[in-house]
Amino acid sequence: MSDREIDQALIERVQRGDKGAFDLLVLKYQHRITHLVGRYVHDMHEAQDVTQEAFIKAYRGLKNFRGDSAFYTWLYRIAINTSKNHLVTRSRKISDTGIDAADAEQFDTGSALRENATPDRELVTAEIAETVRRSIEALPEDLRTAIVLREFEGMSYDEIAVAMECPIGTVRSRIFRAREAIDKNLEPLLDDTRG
Amino acid sequence: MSKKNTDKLTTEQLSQLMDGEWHDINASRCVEIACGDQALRDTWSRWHVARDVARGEQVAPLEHCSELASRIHAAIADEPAYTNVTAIHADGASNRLEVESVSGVETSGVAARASAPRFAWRQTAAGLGIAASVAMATVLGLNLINTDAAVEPSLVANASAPGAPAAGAIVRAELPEVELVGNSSSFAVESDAEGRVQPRVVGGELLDLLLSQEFESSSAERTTATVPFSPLRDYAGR
Repeated sequence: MSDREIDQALIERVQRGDKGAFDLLVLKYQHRITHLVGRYVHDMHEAQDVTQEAFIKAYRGLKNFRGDSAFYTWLYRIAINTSKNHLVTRSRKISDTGIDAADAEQFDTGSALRENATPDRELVTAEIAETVRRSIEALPEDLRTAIVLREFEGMSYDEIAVAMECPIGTVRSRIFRAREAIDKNLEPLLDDTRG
Repeated sequence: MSKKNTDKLTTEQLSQLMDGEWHDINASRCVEIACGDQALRDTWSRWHVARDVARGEQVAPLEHCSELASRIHAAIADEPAYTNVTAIHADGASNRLEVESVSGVETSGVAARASAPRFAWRQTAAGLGIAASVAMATVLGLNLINTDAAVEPSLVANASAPGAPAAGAIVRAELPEVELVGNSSSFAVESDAEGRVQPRVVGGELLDLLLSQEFESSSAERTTATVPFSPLRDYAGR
C-alpha cells in the first residue's frame, strides 16, 4: 500500500465519521505543513495558528475531497492559501515565492524559500536529518536493509520478504525494531526542541 | 501479558498501520488505540518525522507540535462528524465512485451533493443527444416532403409537353413494370397481355395485396408517390 493509498484509507474512515483517523493525518503532516506555513509566516506561533486553521479547513472540505490528487498535495494548497490570506489580513507583503502545488510531491522543495527560514530552524532541521541518517547507518544489516527497502524503495512487506528471503513476520519485526532504534535517538532531540 | 508487552505489541501494530499493511490487524482498533494514547500519538508523529527527514523532506523544528495536534484535535471535536460517506477511491489509473450509507440515519445529502456534479454532465450530454436526434429527424423529414413537392411541378410540366400524354390520361400501358417498396414486403404491378395492370405479390402479405388493389382501382386517377403508402394525390386535382 502506497503512502497515498494509506492516506486515502484514512480519509475514507474520516468520511465515515471516524475523527480519530483525521488525528493521525494531522500528526503525520503537521511538521511538513508547519514548515511550509513558516515560509510565509515567520513567527512560529503565528505559523502554528495558521497551520491549525489550514487543518480545520481541510477537515471541513474533506466531504468534497475526491482523491483525484494526493491528500498532501490538496492539503499543501489549502495551507498556502490560508497563509496568504493570513498575510493579506495582516496587511503584510506577500513574497512571491514562485513555488507551485505541483512541487508538493517533490522531496526537496525548500530551496525557493529557504532564505526565509531562521538560522535556528535550519540548525535544528539539519540536526534532525543528521540524527536520522546516523541512526539508519548504525542499524544492524538486516534491520537497515528492511527499513531501507520499505522507506526508500516503497516495497510492501511481501516484496521485502521475497527480497530478503525471510518470513513476512520477520520483515514486520525488523522494520518495527529499526523504527524503534531510530526513534530512540530522535526522541531526545525532539524533546529538546519542545523545551 | 504485561502492560509493557501489550504496549510493545500495539506499537508494532502501529508500525504496520503506518505501512498500510492492514491485512492481519484490526485497523479500526489500531486507529482507536493510537488516537486515545498520547504516547502512541507521539510515536506515530516521530516516526513520520523520521520518514520525512530520511526522504529529504523539510519539516518544522517540532516546537510544541504535540500541543498543536491537541489544539487541532479539540477544534475538530467541535465540528460535526461525517455520518455518511462519499468515498471516491483512487485506484491507480482509474477512479471509481462508491457511495455507501453507514449510519443509515441520514439520507445521502452529502453524497448527493458530492456525486451530483459527476453525473450532471452525463445527464446534460444525454439530453443534448436526444434533442439533436429529434432535430435531425425533423429536418430530414421536412427535406423529404419538400423534395416531393419540388418534383411534382416538373412532372406536370413534362406531362404537358408536346408529344406527352395529356394530364390525367391513363399511363399504365406505357409503364411495363413498376416496383413499389412497402414497409414489410414489396410488390410489383405489371401489365398483362390485355394491358390491364395485375399485382404481383412479392412478399405475399395481405396488407400489401390490399394496398395494391387499392392502387389498381384508383390508378386511372392517381400516380405514384414518393412516400410508400402515403395518400396518393392526383396531379389534376392539385
